[in-house]
Amino acid sequence: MVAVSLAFLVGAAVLVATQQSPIDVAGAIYEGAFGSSAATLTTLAQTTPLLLVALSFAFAFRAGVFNAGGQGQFLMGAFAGAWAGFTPGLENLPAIVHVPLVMLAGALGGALWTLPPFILKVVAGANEILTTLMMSYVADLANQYLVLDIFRSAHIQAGTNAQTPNLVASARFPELVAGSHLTIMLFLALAAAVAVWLLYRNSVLGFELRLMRTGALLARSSGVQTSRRVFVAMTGSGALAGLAGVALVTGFLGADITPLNTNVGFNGILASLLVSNSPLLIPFAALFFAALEQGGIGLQIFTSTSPYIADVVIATVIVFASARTVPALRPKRLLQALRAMRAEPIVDGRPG
Amino acid sequence: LDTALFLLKPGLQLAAPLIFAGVGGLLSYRAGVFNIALEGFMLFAAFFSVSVAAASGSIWLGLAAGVLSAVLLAVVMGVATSIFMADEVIVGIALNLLSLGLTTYLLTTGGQGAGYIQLNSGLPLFEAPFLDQVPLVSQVINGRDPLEFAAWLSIPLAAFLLGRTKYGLQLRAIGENPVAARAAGVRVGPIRFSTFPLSGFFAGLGGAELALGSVHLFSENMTSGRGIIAFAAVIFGGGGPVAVGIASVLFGMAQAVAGLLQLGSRFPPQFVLMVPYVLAMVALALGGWRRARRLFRSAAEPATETDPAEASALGGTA
Repeated sequence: MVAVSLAFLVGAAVLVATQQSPIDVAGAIYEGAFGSSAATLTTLAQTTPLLLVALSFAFAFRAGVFNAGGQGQFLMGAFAGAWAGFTPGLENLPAIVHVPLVMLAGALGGALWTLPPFILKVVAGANEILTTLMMSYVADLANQYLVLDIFRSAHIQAGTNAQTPNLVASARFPELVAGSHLTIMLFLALAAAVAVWLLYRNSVLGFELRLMRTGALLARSSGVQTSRRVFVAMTGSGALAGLAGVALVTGFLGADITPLNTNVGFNGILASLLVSNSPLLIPFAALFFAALEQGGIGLQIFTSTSPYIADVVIATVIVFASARTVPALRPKRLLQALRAMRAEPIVDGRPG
Repeated sequence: LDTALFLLKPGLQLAAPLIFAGVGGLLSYRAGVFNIALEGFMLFAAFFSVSVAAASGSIWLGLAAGVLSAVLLAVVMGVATSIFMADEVIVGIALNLLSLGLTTYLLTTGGQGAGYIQLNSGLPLFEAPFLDQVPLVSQVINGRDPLEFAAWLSIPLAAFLLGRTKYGLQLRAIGENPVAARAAGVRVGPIRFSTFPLSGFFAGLGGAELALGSVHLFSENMTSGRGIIAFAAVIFGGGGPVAVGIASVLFGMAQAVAGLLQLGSRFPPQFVLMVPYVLAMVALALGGWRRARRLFRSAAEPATETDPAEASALGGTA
């Protein structure tokens, strides 16, 4: 809560510095996120992909794998899901088959995108934080290529984004409320959160994954096949991020578009970090960030302020929330911390 | 060969920001800090150098403002990780997103409303007409801005700082083993903290060069992963300054090839643009593989304190 309030203060300072009224903007953000029942439903729909990416990050993180490339897996999931949804020959499938097929394709797309980082990590010890980030940039370019050159459709969405053909009706969840983009995908995502929680809490696999976080060496000497568990952690994480892409494509866009101007893949990581990667709390963090994002979009419509202020606030929340000790509240504690700067042995010398 | 010469000019130019950022990352890396916020530092510097230069009309003022903004962001990271004990990767990711959000916000709110800020001119270029007759030398030296030369100089500077000064020795000691360093009387906290403004300074120069150099404009997310690539170059180089320089030139050349292919052919540009990122992943794998081999060797022969690989890893002055 402290982190959130401080982040709002920073956001307000930025607004004042650029001659905008923080109060008007805050009002407009609230209005855009929860101002009407339609807005609230759209915010909930926005929550879905964010929740899934956050869950994806937490799933890997709790097994000691830092998947920083949710954005890339999300993009590939979006494309693969869309592809299964518009590709000719499948339009006659009943929805009961087609929708799961789309979800499977998206999950596979996301999972496949984690394979190069997985292989490089296990074979060569390449740091997965950097390789997954690299894969995100590659995914962005791959998505551009696929949408612009291979599957470009004649008509263009609002804004000047190029898009693939639209998904056929049988490939999409029906909207729960017309015009809201809200589908049962949200409830599936919530169920996934509970599933991840249960997996980590109550299963052998979950225990082994937790052991991985404590240390690969310890896990290995306890009889865990570490490479396989890293595989599970990474591909599972990628699949969840891929499903986030499916949520966006089937819920909002109805097609894969480029440029896909969204930071969902990165904001999801931040949402997970905000609640210390706890699967049961992630939905709330996702809702909070989705409200800021959706409110940011409203901001653009109602005022002339740029929606990116929401991204500033979201990132600032994490900068503050990442503090593990808060010595600054009391001068004495601060002094202690400064002294500890000299005394503190930093054990975590994170190898590259 | 003509193509190779033709690529040399843009290749070296594109390498300069990476060299700066690489040197910044190197100082962090040798102190044991996993600094992926280089990306954010660069983006900050790129934006503030161009916007201040546009507002004040002075390129040099812009340069100073850009570098200062990067240093300030780095200090924020230093405070978060050193005083508030935050995880440097988490803060790094958050700061990267913060800089992306903030620069884009400022660009779309206060800027020219065009999605970019364009300057009339960039940094002055060095020209020595009498060198035009000498093919290779003229390609390398002429038509470059002072920051590019500074980038090259920053490599020996970093080598000197790390290898020949007390500060560098202490910094490396912290990176190798902070507990032992502290036992030996090194003030771990302050020295580790000091690497943040330093890496911000160099990464800031890199971001400023990127923006004020040949293109003299700022556009949304213009660094697009260069900070991360620079850090990959550091890991690939195993923490040696010269290796960082070589890796940076390699990545710069790859970007130049990408630019050339993009203009000249019907080959999809996206694939060419992927090359630097894929190359960085390969470099990370090679770096990781080399480190693993070294560990294996030192485990096999426990008493080899003068093992050349280890010695060069410790020395790193190249």
